[in-house]
Amino acid sequence: MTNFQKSKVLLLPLLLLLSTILQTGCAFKDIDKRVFVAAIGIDPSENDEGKYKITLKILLPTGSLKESTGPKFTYLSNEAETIGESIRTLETHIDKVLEFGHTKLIILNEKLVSEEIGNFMDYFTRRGDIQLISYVAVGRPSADKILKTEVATESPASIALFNLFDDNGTENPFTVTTYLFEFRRNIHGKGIDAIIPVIETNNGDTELVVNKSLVVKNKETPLELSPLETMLFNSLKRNKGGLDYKVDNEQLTLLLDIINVSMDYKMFTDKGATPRVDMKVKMAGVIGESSKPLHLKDLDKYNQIANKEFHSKIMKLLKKFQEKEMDPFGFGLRYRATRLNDKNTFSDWEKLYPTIDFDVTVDVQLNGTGAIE
Amino acid sequence: MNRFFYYLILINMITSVVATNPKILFQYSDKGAIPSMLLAVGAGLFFTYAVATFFNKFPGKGLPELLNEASPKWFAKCILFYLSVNFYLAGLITLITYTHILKLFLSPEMSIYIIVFSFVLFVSFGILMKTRSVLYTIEIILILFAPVFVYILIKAYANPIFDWDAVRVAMMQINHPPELSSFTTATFIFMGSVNLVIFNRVFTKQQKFSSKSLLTVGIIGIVILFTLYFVPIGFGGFDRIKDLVYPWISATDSMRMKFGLVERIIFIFMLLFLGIALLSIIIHWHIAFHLLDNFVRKKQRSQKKFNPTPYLIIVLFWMLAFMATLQLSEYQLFKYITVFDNLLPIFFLLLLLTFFVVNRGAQSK
Repeated sequence: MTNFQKSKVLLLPLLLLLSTILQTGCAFKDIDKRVFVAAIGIDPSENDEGKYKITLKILLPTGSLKESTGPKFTYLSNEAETIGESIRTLETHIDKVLEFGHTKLIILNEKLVSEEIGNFMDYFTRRGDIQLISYVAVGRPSADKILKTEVATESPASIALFNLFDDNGTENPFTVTTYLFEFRRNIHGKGIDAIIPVIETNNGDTELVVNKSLVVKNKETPLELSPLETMLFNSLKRNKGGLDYKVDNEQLTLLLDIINVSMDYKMFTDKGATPRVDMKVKMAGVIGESSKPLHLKDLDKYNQIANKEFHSKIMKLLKKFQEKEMDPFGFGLRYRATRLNDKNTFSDWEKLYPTIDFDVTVDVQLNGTGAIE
Repeated sequence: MNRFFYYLILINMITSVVATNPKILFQYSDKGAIPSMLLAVGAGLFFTYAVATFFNKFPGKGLPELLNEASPKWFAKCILFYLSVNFYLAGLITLITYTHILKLFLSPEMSIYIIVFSFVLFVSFGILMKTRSVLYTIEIILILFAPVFVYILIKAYANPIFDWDAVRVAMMQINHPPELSSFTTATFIFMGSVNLVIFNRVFTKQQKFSSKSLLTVGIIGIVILFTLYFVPIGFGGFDRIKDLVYPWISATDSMRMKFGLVERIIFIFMLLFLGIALLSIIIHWHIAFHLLDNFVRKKQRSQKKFNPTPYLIIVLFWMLAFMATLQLSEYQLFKYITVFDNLLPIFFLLLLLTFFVVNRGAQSK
């Protein structure tokens, strides 16, 4: 080896060691110099100070998990003309850096949803440090109120507001989960409308209730879905099982536990014929509750009762969307996806949608009556 | 062809996924992107075929040696300089893009000097490495990261929120005439084979570019091109996809690992692509370095005497990299990359001309 090669061998470990100097952790700012924002709430301004009121829910660190009884929060709030301005002002209200990398929930006030919501929400995508998998929801009566509701079941390191939506805590078909990227995609997309869950509180502000949702369109009044409609939509569009559904007949009342749902639809828009959507829904489940004793051999009869019931409910939901010209299922997108693009494709669809016929076939397969007949 | 040939192609393809190629394609998403991409597959395969068969005729020889043997000196010098500038720029583009990405998504507070410095420091080792060692580095890193890449692909396509209707809307834009910029950008992902200009030096065994090789490159290319274009659309929707500056970073930020150690796939993705990008810069600059070295060298260098030329070249590389990264705004970068890509046909023609000259020179001997 020449001298130079020898020195190269020595130089390499030295340089590698030196490079550890660059590794100072959280980009030169330690974790104790940061506070983590858990959720952002946006309300219209209450005073005349600006247009928006921003509330930040901030996680406070605890010394040890064993000693703490629940997560501790603090709240920062400010009014300003824009969201960015407001957050910048809030940075002067606190001694630490506001860190948005762990923000997982954006709560909007209902009044803001009917504005030009698409461009308004782009602020969060533009920032880059806010997760695109954070959840978007509407807070009722106000975002501020929801953020400040502290629930009794909250344990340290598990935040109730996140558990509601992350499909890991509570899992039920009444809760719509909408991610920020999904919201942006659907609010800007032509032929599909965004849907967001509504978070409410109970009377004493001790519980958070999520079972309604809003279908949102830019600059239009949102369409509210009742808990039952939300559940139906969720199970059809997202194939979310686990729904309990009450079926009323003259003789008996059944409560069905639907475990699996699958939905598929085809669109027929031949010239001459009335445009039609054929929707096929398959459900499988068991009977969970009944007003009368049941017989296993009569399962087919119960299937028929359930079919009829679901058919009318689904038709009602589809008609409701059609009347209000809202399209959370994305029929318009499917229309665009199945024909060669030209500049009239979407306006054609807008004319077509109010006239379209729905043909729904429901096939419920009940597999049992639970542990007793 | 041996496996290293495919590695070279694969690295180039994977790097393109995060770089500006998707962004340029999306600019034409409602114009001619789809037909351009289809054409690009054909052009890219032809290009790969031409390059591979040419170098297979001269096993163990890089382009500089071939040019010196079989072509006039002025021609050799011109081509070497032109190629080295191109390879340097290709590496530089990757470097600047990734610096911007790191600054925007991973560490917004970190100084841009430190980001560039840490890149070029490690790349410089790669440049000075033996060509054979570079290939081994590629193999190790690819084997480490390939499962992660496959995992991300599965995670993307199996995602229930992935909107296939949006993908189909994008496909329905096929009825437009092709567009030059989108064509050249899509062709760029097939340019990995051109790395043979130097790496052929270590491919000493006689090889054949069979129809099976062509099929392999074709299939991998189509899968990557499809992924590169349609995954961001599936997550971000078709109508406003143009607005995203780094569509792929946004797409991976839209994936979630419910039970993962970290919930956000973006961090795994960043790690993967940093590794691949580092490799890509090493490959491009390694080639640029050797071409430039051959360009400035007059005669065979003596082994014993210390020669400063390589270090001067590296200092030059560093200086240009720092200047360019600090100077360019994202818009300028985007504009220059488009110009760079649009010049690809010239690059291609010049390379074919070189092949022709070398072939004729070799025959007349």
